[in-house]
Amino acid sequence: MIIKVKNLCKDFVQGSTVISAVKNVSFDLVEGKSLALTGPSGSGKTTIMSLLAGLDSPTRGEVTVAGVALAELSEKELSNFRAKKVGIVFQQFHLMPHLTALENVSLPLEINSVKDSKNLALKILEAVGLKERVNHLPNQLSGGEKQRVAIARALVLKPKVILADEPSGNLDSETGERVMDLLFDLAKAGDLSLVLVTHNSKLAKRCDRQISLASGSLTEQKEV
Amino acid sequence: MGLLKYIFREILNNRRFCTLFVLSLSMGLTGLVAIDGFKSSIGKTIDSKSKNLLGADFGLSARRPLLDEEKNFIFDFVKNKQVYETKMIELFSMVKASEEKSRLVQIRAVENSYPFYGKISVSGLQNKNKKLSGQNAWVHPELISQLSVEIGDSVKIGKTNFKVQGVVENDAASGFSSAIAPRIYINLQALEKTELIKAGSIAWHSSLFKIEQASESELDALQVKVFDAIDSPEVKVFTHKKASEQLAGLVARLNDFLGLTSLVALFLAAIGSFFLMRSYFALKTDQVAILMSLGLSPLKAFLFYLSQIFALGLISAVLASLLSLLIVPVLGGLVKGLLPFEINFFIEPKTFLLGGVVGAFGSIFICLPLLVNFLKTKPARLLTKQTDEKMKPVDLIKTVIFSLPALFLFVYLSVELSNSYQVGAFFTIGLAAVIVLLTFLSVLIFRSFGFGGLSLRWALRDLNRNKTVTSISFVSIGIGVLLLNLIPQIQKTIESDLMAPDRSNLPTFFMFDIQEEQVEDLKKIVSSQKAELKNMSPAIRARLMSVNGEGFSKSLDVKSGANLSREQERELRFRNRGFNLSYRAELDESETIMNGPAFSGVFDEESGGLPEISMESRFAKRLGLKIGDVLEFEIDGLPFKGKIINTRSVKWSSFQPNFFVQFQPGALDLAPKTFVATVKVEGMNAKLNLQNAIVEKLPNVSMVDVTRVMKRLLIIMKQMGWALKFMSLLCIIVGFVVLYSIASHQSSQRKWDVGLLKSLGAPFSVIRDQFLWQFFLISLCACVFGVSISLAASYLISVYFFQTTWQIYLTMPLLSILGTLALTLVVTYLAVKKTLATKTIDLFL
Repeated sequence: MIIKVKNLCKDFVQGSTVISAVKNVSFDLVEGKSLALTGPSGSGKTTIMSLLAGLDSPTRGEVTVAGVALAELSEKELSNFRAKKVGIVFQQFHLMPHLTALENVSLPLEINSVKDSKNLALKILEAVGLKERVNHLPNQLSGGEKQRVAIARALVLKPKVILADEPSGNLDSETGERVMDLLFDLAKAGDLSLVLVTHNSKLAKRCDRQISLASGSLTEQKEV
Repeated sequence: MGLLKYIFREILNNRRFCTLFVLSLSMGLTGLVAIDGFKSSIGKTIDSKSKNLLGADFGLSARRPLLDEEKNFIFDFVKNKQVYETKMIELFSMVKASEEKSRLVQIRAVENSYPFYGKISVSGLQNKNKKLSGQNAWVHPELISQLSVEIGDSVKIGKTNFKVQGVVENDAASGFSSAIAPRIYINLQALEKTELIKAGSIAWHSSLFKIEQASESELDALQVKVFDAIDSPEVKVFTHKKASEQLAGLVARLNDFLGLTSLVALFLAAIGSFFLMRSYFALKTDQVAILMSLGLSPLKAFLFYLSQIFALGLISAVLASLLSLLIVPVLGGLVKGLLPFEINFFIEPKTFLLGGVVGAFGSIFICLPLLVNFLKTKPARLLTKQTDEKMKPVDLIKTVIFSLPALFLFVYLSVELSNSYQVGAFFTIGLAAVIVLLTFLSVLIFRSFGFGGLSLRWALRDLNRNKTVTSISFVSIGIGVLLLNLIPQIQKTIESDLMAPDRSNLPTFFMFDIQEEQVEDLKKIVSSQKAELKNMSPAIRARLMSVNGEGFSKSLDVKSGANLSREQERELRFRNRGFNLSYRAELDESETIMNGPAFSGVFDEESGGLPEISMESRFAKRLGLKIGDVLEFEIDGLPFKGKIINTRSVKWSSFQPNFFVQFQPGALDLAPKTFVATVKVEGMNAKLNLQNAIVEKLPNVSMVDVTRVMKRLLIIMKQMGWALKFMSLLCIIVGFVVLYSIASHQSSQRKWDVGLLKSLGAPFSVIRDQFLWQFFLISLCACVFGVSISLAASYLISVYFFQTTWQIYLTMPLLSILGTLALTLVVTYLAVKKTLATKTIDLFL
């Protein structure tokens, strides 16, 4: 299993109130497969995503990604984990506004001290169809182009797992569809596992598995 | 009320921005408010003490006995009021206590009616109400130890012995209690017996008047009338207030420069505030677009934000006023000894008002160009907006036009604080040049390089891309470091010039009031003491009558009673002074001809030409005189003409006899004159022996101990230097507040970047180090360039203004660089700490 989640709980404290964002959730994912996390706003999708990425720590339960048990890692080891094992695609793109497309994609390579980072970044940008836009700043790119840069950045280190949070949520349907095609194609070509947070049922159906959440609890789990 | 409520809520909702804005602006305003408070404290003190300081309401003074008709003007012009007069003569002279003890003193010979106001408290008097009469003297306390005398002992002044009758404990009219020449009071009638006053002797003859129930305006009006009525420019006419203001002249000039230094602090704060407001408006673009889409008119939006800025400016002013309450007494402590009276510290409402006006309107002026561009926001952006859209490009013409009020305010404050159009303009242009240079350098030097660790490379890339942040931080630190180094560098150069061990030409004594018939005796005494007499120079008292045939009149500006600029004051001073002419065949080592030929030799009366004149170059410039001008002087009632053939620079710190106006030899040889000279002698015993020998034989010759003068000068310079350094420190503090504001706001704005880097796996240390590198590099380069510019400026000022040999002192630059770098790292870390701790999960929200 590339992802193993067991009895996962996450509580947030707001003043004197404890809010349980994730309640006793368990699931797993086979390597090379895709998983859709669905559910209404506030159901805990994004919290689970951040726990899978090691960006936050669970209150209780276990998370293992690519053979790494995240609960046991120090902050430094978590950074290393994120740098090497997972790639993240955000709904809001989150590109560095003062860096060009090429520089944005080069960031993970630089963090990992990968040699020849420029050529590797160029190759992946070419793969996402942005060969002609490499030296453009984010505000000179369209929404679809920005998301393609974000995907390229997530894939450039060939991680085991791609975590994508509503990657087409900020795009029109046609552009969104093209971006998702690209993401699925690249994941398949690279034999990568994909965890996708989405409201879009059509998109969820393209994944190998679907997990539905409501109020932090797992309500449905099915193979597509 | 509604508007106020919204402003209050807006401030509360943007606490971080508002705190930084207020902190930055209030620190900048503090210097300005403190200097104004300090000035008004001095002004108020003068107001309350000026009658005591002069001892009278009104006075006349000249380097010659005042004529009856000159004094009678006062009695003629003052109607229906009682006028009382008392006379006083002041001069420097040697006083001798025993065979071994003698020294230069300031003699103040007064009548019993002096002073009309205040009193001279004297200890040791058997009868407390005893008047100063006969051959008695009241001495300032330092003389008791310096001459090893006690009450009842005898001291010799000129040719007469005086009994030390009492010690002056509190002298309301003390003036500067100079360490060079402490004061002795004697009776005016007794002065004659000393035979100190001879033809050409340097002595100030004054008549002081008490005018019953005269108001300030009446005294001012009387000053104008009397000044106008007295023909001679030599006679000084003053009210008690004007006389006291002149006593505080040194501190007034120091205040000019302190004011300018505080203006630099304000400018830095303005930069910081501008940056913060720019970032704030960038964040508020959506909000204003939403409000406009809901029907808010651009005018209302403009007024809302204008009021908010106004409120922040006022809050800053209140904080600055509170801080200035702490600073004003510190400044007072730093300049203690430069003023002849104790300052009563209090900050007037008008000082608070100044802070409020500059704070509130200054903030508006600073932010006006931003606000105008900000309100170009169209609600339509809400429909097309993209997450990383920035504010629209600025309208350059509008920006320039709306920047003008801030520029005018700055120029106005420069001129107002320096009391000089020239200095104000020079300061504004100089500061603008430094800013342009530093900005240019910041753009030029920060490039992306492929070397170094990840943090360093990212830091360099950020510096290159975020040019606004880089430039503002760079300029703030650069200017602070520049100021911090400039003042000590100049101070050290001058100190070194004064104290240089290789100054073999420096005399031991500077002597004046040497009568013509005493020259040979003096030479013999000096020779017998194995000392070296140098530069025996004649001094001929004269008055400039005309230039190229046109009368050289007294300036009329004084009549207006208006505040004069420093240039006007200086011109007035030069115009209304008597001249000491001299002649010599060759230049002294301390002189250099700037323009024109050297003297052609001894003047030949039969040649038909006019005697040649050499003018000191700056003096000529101030009076508007040039080569070729024919000057007509009045010497001892007779006219005497000469023609300027050259201008020369004089190194005044040489302590050699030098003159503004010098004739070629042969022209003035027969004119009535006294002499000045210097003498050099090695060793303390030989020095005392020489001094005692001269005092014994030639008691009217005054001898200034050059070493003592230099020490006093150094003390004064050090005190002024400390005050200036204190204000420079304020600049560097403001620089760091700006840096903190920028780093803090920058990091807060970049929390998404930080989160993103974390999500990409960048270790915490790499992200932290990126910020530290970024501001460390800015600080390092700003320090290096700030120090370099300060060295260059100190070189130019030392060589061209003070005409001294520039020397480099590396201690201060090194200390300031190391200190600034260390502080930068601390300030940056504190500023970005919160952002670095941001949880990456926020990226998903």
